Amino acid sequence: MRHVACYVRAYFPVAIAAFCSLSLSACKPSATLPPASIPAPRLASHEATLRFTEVTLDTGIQFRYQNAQEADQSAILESLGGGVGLLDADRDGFVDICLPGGGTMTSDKQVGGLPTGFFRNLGGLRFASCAKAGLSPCSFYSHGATIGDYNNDGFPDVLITGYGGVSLWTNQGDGTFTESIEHCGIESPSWNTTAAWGDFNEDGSLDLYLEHYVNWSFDNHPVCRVPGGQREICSPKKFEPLADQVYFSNGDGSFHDATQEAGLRTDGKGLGVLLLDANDDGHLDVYVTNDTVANFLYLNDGDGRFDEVGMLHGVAVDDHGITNGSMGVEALDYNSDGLLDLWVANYEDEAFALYRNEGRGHFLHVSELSGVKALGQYFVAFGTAAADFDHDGDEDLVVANGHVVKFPQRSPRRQLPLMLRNDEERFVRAESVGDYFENDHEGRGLAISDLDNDGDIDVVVSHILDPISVLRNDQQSARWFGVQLSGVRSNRDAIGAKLTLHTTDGNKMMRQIKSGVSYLSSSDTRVLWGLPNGAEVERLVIRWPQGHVQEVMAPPTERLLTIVENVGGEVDEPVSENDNANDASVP
Amino acid sequence: MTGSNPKTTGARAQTRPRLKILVAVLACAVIGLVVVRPWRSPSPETTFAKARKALAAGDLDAVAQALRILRDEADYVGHCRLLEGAILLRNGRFAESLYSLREAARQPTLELEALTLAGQAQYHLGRVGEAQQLWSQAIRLNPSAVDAHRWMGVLYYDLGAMDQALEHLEKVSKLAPEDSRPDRLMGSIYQDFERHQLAAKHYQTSLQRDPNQRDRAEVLLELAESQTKSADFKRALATLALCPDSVGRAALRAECYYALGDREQALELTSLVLEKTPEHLPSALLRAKILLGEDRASDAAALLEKTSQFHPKDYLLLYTLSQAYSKIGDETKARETLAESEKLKKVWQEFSRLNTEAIHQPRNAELRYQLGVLAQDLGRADLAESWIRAALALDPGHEKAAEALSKNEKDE
Repeated sequence: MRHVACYVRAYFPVAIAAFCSLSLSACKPSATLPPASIPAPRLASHEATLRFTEVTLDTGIQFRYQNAQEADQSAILESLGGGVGLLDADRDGFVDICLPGGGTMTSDKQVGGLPTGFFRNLGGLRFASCAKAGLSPCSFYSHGATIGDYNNDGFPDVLITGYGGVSLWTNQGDGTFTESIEHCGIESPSWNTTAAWGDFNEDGSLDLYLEHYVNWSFDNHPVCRVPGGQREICSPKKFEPLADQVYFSNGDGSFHDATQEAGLRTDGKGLGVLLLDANDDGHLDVYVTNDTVANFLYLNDGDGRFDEVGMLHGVAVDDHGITNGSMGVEALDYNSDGLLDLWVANYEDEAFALYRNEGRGHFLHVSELSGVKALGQYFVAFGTAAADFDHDGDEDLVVANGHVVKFPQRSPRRQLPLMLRNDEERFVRAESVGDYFENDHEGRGLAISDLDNDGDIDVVVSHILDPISVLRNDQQSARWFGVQLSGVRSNRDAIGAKLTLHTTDGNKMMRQIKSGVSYLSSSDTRVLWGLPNGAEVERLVIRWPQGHVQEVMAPPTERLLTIVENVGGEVDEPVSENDNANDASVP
Repeated sequence: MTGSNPKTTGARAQTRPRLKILVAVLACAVIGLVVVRPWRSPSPETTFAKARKALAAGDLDAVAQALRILRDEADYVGHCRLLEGAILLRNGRFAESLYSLREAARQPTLELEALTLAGQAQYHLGRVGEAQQLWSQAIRLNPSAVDAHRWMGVLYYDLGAMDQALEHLEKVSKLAPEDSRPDRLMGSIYQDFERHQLAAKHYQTSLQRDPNQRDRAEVLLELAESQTKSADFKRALATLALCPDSVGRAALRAECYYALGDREQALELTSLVLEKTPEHLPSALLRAKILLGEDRASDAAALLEKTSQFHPKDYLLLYTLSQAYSKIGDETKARETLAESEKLKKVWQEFSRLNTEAIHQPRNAELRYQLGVLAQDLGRADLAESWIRAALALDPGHEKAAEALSKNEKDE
């Protein structure tokens, strides 16, 4: 807040007391603003080795998310978009792609669903549309794809979320799916956005966190307008929040609603969710990003009862104590201190939030300190993911951006995506990393995986109306190390496992198997590390979700290892190298 | 044959040129009288023009002198009314001025000017609606009436109707391209509404129009602040390099250095600022943030506790303090402080909401009174008084506002 009225005195020579007596406070403006130019990127060092090529046309994937904007209803439903689900459905070692299709709206205000796309990875970055997979039809307007082996059978299942329902597609073990929602106990005719699988009560089966957004419907569809008078999509502030839900697994493939016993808040407008061990106590916590209201951090007591501490622990608001329009979310150990930090993709006029983990689940907003604020506040950011894209040993970030309203006043509807390189704990915008990053898009969901099994992380982005993009990482460094965990006592996906890779140069590179992450999307749960020049892998230490520690000494590099949980809990090396079920080919 | 006396002839010959010179001199004198007379005794039009200039310069004696001359001119009755009205206005006799100005406005050539001045008189009398009407009328007469736009800008600004204020200030800026002031004021308005990039643009325009303006140092500092707030830290530092040394400059430099990764420099600068002005809130908050990041939560808490004595109702300070307590491990204090911060934040949010409403309801006195009450709750007596005055300007009979204002004055 500032007091400006005295400037009137300078302005008007015939000043009188009244002219200098009035003032205003700072508050969010309502008037129009011209589009801002995107600032010139700051160059990071070692740029040359980071490059992505858009290979969508060559992959054979033709798919676009439909948001029904042509119905001209100016519904907030149009603004969310769709996600990307990455999974190795048939366990052939190649990661397949699942894409929610969106929906339709008619002039008589009926909302309908569109088919989910499923594309089987044939290897060599060639994909085939696979209607046989059985992931369609979708009776509701879909948004998200959440992947998890909820029945612990070794094959990933798919949960599609959307407006008016969710559908649970159970993998039949051959990469085809059958619908299981009717009998599984999950019932949510509400507006479902991002979901995440994780074992909250530590019984070895995956539970489900299901986010809900706001109470929009055609019966609650106010008319909002821009200053020019055109009808505009209303802000989420116009609507009431819908409470999130938690479903606990019954251990037999069915679930029960445990929202009450888990102790969830009811005032979120959830768009992103991330399961991680925030306070490093071995229990899987939940971080929820909400749109225009405070974000939540639920600390888990190990039995699936949560204590929401977002405000107290510094991750609910920004450094001005203000709630943001938070969408995408990711966790990474950006400063290599062994603790997971939180990264949140926010609305325009708000910086991306980087919350540094200070230990015991306390966080500090360090967007300024880490150079993130200097990126500007032009972006409406959605899907995001962290990985060591440039193989220099630390995690970088990728972000998909795009506006949500029809007539944006400040930044454009189509926006540049961002590739942010971690440059000694400061994030700088990487330049010349490929055409995709030099063109504007209406980005939404984003997920990452080594789609061509060449040891580097590729990216898949979903857009509003435009075809999805598959971005191949053309990383030159051939030095990498990858693992896929397979839980035995812990959940099969090992969600919540903490992996620390020790290298001969003294570095410790920590990763966690997370769930949720990004926005309406699910990335591959395989973990890949780039290995900087001169670094050799000394050992890998795994802390499994059930708490016991497993250590793998001098594992071979430049290949993907499948590591099965050693239920004996001994510190040894029970490594199954490229086992038959997951024979990832390494060029 | 007539003989000629050469002497006489010679004398005549000499006399003729003298005569010619005399005639010429006389002619010049006559012409001079004809031509120069008006210069010595100017035309009524010139006298009126000079009076206007004097009025603009605030030289009321000169205006009065011109008025005396013009009173002898039968065709200049309207002009005299205008000048009378202007003098009365300048002397603070607003109600009396209105009669003269109304008379003046009957003459079409003076209408615009008379309306603009009458608007001022009404405005000073607290009759905001009437003033607005008169200036609107002036603008209808001449859409380029720069003074009327100027005053409309002021009126809306004072009422907290910033969209409308900006609309008129934009016009002034276009109509008077040499004037640096409208852009400076627009910069301030945008800055207050956290539209920092736009603010920076207007400050820059203001400085371009008059690089040596009287308040150059202040404008530069405001420009640097808007650049800092829009995360343009390097440019902000470049702007700050042009500013004379001050606490404000040091505080902004600290923010920039911190954002650019130089914690040491930022710490040093905040130390300097807080040494001189321990109540400097932005520097205290920045220093606390740095200390928290360096695992010095106790130091951060001590600093914030000290600063909270100056700003007991600042929700951000209390929020940061709760973070410090939380990090120290004092959960009770952390929760208590956070609860207090949240309570104040709600008041602030309501204040912001009403502020935005005030933009769209430029004539709502009650809304402005409510804003005054909330500002008081936030410990901002200065803001409270401003809003209450705005309420009274719109509705002089607003009892609660009058009461609140008199209570404030008594307290002061």
